[in-house]
Amino acid sequence: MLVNWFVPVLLSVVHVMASYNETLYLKPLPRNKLMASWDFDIESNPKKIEFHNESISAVKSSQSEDHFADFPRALGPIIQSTNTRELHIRFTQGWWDSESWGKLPKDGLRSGGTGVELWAIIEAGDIQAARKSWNKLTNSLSGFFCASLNFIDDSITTFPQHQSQQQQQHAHVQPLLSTNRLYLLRASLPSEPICTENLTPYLKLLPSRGKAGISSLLEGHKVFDSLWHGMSIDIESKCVDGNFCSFSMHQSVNSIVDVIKSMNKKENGGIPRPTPGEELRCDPKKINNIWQCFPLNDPTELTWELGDLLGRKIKGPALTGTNYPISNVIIDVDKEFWKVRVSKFKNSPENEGEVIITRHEITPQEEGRIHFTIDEACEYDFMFETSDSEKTSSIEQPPLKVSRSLSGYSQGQGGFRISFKNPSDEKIKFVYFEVLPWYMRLYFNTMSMEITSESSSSSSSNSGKISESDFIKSRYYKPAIDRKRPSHLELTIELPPHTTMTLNYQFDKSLLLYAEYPPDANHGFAIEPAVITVLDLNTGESAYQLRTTSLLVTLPTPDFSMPYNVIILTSTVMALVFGSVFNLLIRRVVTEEELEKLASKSKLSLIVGNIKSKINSLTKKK
Amino acid sequence: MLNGIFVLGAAVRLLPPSFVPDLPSTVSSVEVATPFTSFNSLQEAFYYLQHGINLYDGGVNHHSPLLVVFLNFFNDLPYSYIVFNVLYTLIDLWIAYRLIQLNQWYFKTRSAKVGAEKSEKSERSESGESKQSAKDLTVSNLIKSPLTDKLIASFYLFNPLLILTNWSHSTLLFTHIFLVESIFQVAVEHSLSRGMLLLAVASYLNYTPIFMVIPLVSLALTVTKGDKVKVVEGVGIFIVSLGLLVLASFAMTSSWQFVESCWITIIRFDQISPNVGLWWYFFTEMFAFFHPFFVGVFNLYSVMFILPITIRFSENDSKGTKSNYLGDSFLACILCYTWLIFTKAYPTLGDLGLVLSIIPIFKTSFLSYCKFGGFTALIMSGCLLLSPIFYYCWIVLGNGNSNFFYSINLTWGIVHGLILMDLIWGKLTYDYINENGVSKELQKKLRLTQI
Repeated sequence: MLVNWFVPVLLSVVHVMASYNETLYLKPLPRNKLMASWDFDIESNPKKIEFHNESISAVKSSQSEDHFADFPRALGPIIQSTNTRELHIRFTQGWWDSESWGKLPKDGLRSGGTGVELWAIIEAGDIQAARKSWNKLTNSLSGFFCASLNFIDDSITTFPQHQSQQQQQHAHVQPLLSTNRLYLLRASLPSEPICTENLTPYLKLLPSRGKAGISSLLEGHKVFDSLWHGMSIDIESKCVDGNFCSFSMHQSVNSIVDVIKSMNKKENGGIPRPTPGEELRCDPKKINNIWQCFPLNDPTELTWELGDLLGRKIKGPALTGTNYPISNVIIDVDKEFWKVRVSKFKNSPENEGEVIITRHEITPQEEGRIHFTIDEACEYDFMFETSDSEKTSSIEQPPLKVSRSLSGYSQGQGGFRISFKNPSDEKIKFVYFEVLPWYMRLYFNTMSMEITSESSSSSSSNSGKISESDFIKSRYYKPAIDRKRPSHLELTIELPPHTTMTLNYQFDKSLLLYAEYPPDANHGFAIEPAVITVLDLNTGESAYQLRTTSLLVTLPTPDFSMPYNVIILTSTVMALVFGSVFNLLIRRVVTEEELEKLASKSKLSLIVGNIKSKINSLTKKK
Repeated sequence: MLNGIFVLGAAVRLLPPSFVPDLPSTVSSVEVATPFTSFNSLQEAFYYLQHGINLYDGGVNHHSPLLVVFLNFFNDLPYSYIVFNVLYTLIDLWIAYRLIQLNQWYFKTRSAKVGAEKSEKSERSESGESKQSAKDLTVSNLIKSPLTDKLIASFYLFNPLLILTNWSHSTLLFTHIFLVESIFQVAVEHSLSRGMLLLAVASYLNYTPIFMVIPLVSLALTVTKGDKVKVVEGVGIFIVSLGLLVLASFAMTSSWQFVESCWITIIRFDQISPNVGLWWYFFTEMFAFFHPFFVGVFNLYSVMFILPITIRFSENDSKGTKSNYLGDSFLACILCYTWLIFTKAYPTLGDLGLVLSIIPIFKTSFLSYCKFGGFTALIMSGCLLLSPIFYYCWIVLGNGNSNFFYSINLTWGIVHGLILMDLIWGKLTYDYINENGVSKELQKKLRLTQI
């Protein structure tokens, strides 16, 4: 960013241009998948910001709002009033198939785990103040993004210790007041569904409001119909010279689109129908008649347009009147097998429709990548033509493969089995970060480790031979407190090449109170994904980040129709025993004859006797 | 022969967990171990201790700090699981030995007491010869020969509930040994101070025995024949030693969090986990609004009968209004304990197991007047049989729900009630026979009731 920090007013025009930048990255993947990723960079002008105190509630917000520039004005006050120095939000859904898609986009540093993930660096005097700001922040963002972020409370919030990525960034951020400290808070909601109502406010943050530029491609129904998709927002404050700060925001949307499915959907509408017999693709090498058909794989010779997959075309550059390329498209294909053409359309009211003004092929510039700038105020579309769609540009394999699963079969107990596989030729070091809800009572002393090495081919699961400290370099474990805090585990692990490490540990599932169960209690409780940050061996910075899938744990459930019955039955037993013991203790013991004798002298029996004798006398008179 | 029983009892406890090291965690079902006594959570506490994690900054460990630190010493030894097996076995053998001594003591004091009554009565009723002979008949009937040491030891050592508790390595056993030992010290050794000290340890370990201080002081008054200063002294020693233990724990953990984890959680019933008691399902299903109220009610209920039972069966009748009344402070202790385990928040099978092993001691006096023994035993075996099945159906198979298990809890509660009523009624019948000098022949026709 060519930003001159000290003369912002004079160069505000330059600012508007430099403060916004967007890039669309397209990469075809094997099996007719397409990775589409949108990146938006927004920067505000630097401004003197002050530590926001509750007591000085009147923020001088009216004072020159223009320093936000293209930075969303709705977010600014939320961030300032909660003293947030960094904010990261992730909305993700779907399962990333690293076997065929390779590394996560941007080394996973912009991707989240299933559901919503939120972390922030908050400046505060003490931990209570930090929690208070955090609550305020989550509640504000909840309304902002139409997500259940307001369900974030102390029972799921953690203070990550060794998230090296954050710690690196920490260095840039300094507390405004020297008495304050910076707190990193994190929470995630694994069962949160991501849908169009999250995308709408997300697009509103952009200066183009999603109406122009590459963001005009983002249509909720298509984006969320993908195999995997993630939205992220990263806001950082960059401070120069004390508290002269600017906010920079990076927004990113990534999705994996199934080309065949999307094209079928366009042709046949949203309703799935059986393929007509003549359109079936059968394997000619096997039996093939009207009754039998061995289906072939998807066709590999394809032609499709981006507009068909995503439902829209790119509507010109994001901002007009700039002399700076702000809307860029990068297409990553294997140039031997792929041809990309760009088409420009113009809406002409006379012809009542779109008119193609140009359609030409664009050629890769460097390393097979196509760089293209959207600069004219017309609609753009890209046409992809391939002779073999299986041939894509090279796919990098992730440095680590992790899978986490639940073991055990009862609602009372269970276990975790986490397996880490290092497929590379180098030793890797990573941090395993896991947050588990309080209703899973971890027995961490049951942790056992198995190491399987591909090279030696002899699996040694004997714990006597290998010691945990050879692999687990450091561990941080904060046990959960019921309804107050989740369990928080961070392990720093070093894994030799071609080695698989499996960790097992046990937990008890606890019973909740009647009202703490969700309406669909037997569906289970989502456990948030674990975060694995692979560290660069030299610098210690995070080189790659990945998440496991979320898990579903079924807890023991009481019978929800029983409250009154239970109250009545338990109370009956208690009263029964109480009454019997009470009677036994205070009453006098007599024989039954004595009882009869005494009973005849009692007042009641005298009255009864009187009545009886009267009745007798009456009957005698008759 | 007695040695043989002890050896066999030890073998039953020592060998299976030594050959099957997983036995403690396998046996630790919800009926046998609660979060407050389970060996799993104790081992987790060892883990915290070894890794420098605050013992009480978490929801898993509810064991007292001193116990964790003390047992961690054994955990550090090589072959620690064998060491634990030996430790738990020794505790059970020790309790069995103490029960034998208590049995002998009970027979001795009872016969002495009845003997004294007899001589008193005979002096008073010298005039009527015929009456005296009737009394003789009664007295000979009042004291029966006690069970042999072998049987008392067998009742404890081969009680399946206690074997299960031992195998699960439940820390309840530590409470038991301190409780039995304190009763032994007070009753047999006539040492109130030692008894109170041991009771303080038992209460420190498990909270519930704290209320045993009332019947135990009463028992001490009986054996030391009066002296009200003893009451103050006993309670004083109890409070001071409990205070010292708490202070020592504070010094060890340098925070008060353990108080919350070990005791407040029990009182407030914060940790809801299925067990054989009455609390858990009630509070799971209870509306949040009434939660604090019913916690208060249940806590009150659990201490309600301590004082009444102690007074009713006290032997220190200073006024002498009922000259030929035979109290039984030892019985009061056992009844109080039965009431406590019936009403406690996290009961286990082992709790009732101890009471069941102590009850045969009363054979000397009134046990033959108890009528429901067989009936109770039948209900109890039904519960023991169905409880694991219903729990399995609910938690694992999913073809039953929590109500199945809860119904067994209720029945298990009724078993406690039946035992209490049976013991009290047996004692009342015994007292009536004693006070009115009912002869042996008449006893068969005797039909008692209460007004």
